[in-house]
Amino acid sequence: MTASAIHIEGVTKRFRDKVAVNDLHLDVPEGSLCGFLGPNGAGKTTTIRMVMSIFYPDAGKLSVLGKSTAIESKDRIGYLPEERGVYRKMKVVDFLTYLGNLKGLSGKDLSKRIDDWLEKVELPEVRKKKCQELSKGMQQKIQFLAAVIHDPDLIILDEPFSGLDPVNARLLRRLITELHDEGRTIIFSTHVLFSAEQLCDRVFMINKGKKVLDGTIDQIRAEFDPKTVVVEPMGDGSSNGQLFGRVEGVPGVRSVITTDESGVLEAHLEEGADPQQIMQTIMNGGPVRRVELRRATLEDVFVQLVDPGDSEDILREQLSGAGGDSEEASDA
Amino acid sequence: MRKVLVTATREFKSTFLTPAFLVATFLIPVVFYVILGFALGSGILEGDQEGAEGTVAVIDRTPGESVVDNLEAYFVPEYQEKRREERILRNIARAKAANPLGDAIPTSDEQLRQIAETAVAPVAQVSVERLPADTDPDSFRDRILSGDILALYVFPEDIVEDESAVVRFELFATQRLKDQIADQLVDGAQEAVVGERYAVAQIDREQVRQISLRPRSDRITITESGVAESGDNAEIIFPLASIMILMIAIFTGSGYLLMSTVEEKSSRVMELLLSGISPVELMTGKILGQAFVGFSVLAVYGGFGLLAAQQFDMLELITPLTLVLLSAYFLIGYFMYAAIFAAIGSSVNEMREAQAMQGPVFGVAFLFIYLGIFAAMQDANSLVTKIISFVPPATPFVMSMRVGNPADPPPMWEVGATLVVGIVSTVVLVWASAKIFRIGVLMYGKPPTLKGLVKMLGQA
Repeated sequence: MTASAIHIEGVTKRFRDKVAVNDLHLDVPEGSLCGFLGPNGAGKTTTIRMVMSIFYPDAGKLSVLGKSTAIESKDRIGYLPEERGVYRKMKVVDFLTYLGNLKGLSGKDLSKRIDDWLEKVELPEVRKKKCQELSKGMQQKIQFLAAVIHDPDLIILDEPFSGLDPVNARLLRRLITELHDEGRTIIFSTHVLFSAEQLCDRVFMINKGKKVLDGTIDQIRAEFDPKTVVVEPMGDGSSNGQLFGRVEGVPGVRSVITTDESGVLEAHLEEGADPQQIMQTIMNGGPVRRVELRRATLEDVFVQLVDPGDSEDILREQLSGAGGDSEEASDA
Repeated sequence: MRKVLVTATREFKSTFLTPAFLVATFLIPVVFYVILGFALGSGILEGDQEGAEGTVAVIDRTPGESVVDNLEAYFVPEYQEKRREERILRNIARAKAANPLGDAIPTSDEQLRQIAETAVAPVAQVSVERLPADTDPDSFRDRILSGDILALYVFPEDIVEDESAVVRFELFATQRLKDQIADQLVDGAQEAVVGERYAVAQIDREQVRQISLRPRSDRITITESGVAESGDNAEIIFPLASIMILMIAIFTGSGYLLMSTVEEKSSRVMELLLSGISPVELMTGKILGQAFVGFSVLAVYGGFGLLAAQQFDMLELITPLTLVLLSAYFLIGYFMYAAIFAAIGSSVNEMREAQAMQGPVFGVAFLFIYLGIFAAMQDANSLVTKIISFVPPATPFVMSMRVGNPADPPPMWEVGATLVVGIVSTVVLVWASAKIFRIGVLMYGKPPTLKGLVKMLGQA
């Protein structure tokens, strides 16, 4: 059995009378690359802050890298918070040196690491520049370096892709994959479900402070199989009506809908129906451009698990109604 | 501990080693100290001097017209030259005494003389035109207006005999006549009248002057380390200097602490830091780093104070115990206010909010501090002074005044008791501040009220 990098057991955190995290149980296996999903205000950042021992739980217990608090193993953890910044007037090299020093690094070793990492993120020329001279994307890459400069065993990234352009997002995905390949445990929260789906071997999701999803990508896909067959017609659309009727009549098809003007159909299958047989029947019935069994995406799962009313605005409204406790507002 | 030291070092370097800090904290006071001391001594601040030039007309109605004779004698160039030389020598002597760095800034006598000369008006070149006693001053209006004569004196008949303060002479001149020149003309006339009074009374004026010279006192203050000539103002100068230096050092360090905490919050770098260091370690490091800043300021300003004391032969009044106690009160004061400012800095989002929150704190603190200062200046060991010495926000300042007063120091039991009160209060404040800091550093949005801060103490 794989050891846990993070073990959370029945953790609850309240801010006044609002429950930010509610009886959360979670295990992050060592060496895994986990996506931490959930709508805004679900309690992701609060959970991460508790893992980092920035907040302490009101109930329950957690362990990080085998220690009861992250304080005991902070030098083995890299953390990129959601609320992040830089010392504007400090030079990049000084900024990274300071954070490296806090993580126990010093001297030539630290200097070499800074140079190597600046090369890796394609910013070797900014070494002597002041942080305020960098673009937002560049600053974000520097903040990422601050989180990984000390070769941590556990890397926690809170919304690492926010504010990055597609090129830099791809670079960051590559770096995360490399770090994972080196055996590090990585956990990151994101709203970019595409990135999570591409990168993660495991995903968990919380909503209203409670865990609603936990498993590998394959397990989740199996669990949330949409049982939908997509059918794209061949021609110019003149025979779409005919195709619609044909698909609707296939045994095991519960309902059919037209998804767009080009006439692409989605056939929703009955419980227990054999998708392979249904696809075969559709193809045997006449020419079609494409027939495929649709796979569950994380976006489908997310939308399925999160009630629109659970998301950001409503939660923020509730929290601000609690007397303007700004801590809750920022944390949610 | 390593992380605390890393933070303290960064905090110290980022504050201390900036050109703005070095200039504001060290260079400006040095330049100010030297220039002001020198300028005040030499009289250079009095501006460019101008000597009277031209003719003055005199209507002398005194019997025998003796005043005008004296006035003529007064404006004789040789006499004017002699008076000017006396003033220059006096200014040189004052400048030498006022130079706070003594021989540290070598200045030749010639240079000193050049500076001193600028502060003394050139020799007046005035000729006196005597007019008949019955001349109507109005008839001279045109000559005065045309600038033909500089001014017209009219001395009344009784100006020599009447020694009351109400007796006056008249000086007619245009508005163009500068005050500086008018002063010289008035000075000459007054000298002439007074000189004549001495002559009429047949009294030797120089002898009277000599007899009237009041003896000066050399006040000798006795301290445990010996005796020293302290002049008349040691009991005021030392306490005020002590409290000023302490205030500068304490509020420089704690002020920068507030700014750097607010900066780390507003730039959102705080949580990144907290990934490597706990909030309490961070706060401790920041407070220690700025303590070194404050202590450096204390050392430099205190150093200047010692130099000045040496210059005025008062160094012996400052005992090693005084320096130790001042350092102890500095540490208490610094940590007390640093704890308060760290708590404020951690719970606000920008400097404007910090200043608003500082207001009530400063209001209460300075009420006691000023009360203590005034009470201690009146009587360093009065009951009011003693009571305020035990009010924690005022303790370091009032006690620094009291231990800095060589003439009337506080009893040792009070020193010990106030140190205990100061240390206990500081420990409580640092403990409370750490609790607020831990929650405050990650709190954004509307800043808490004072009540909110108190609630945080229960949450942390």
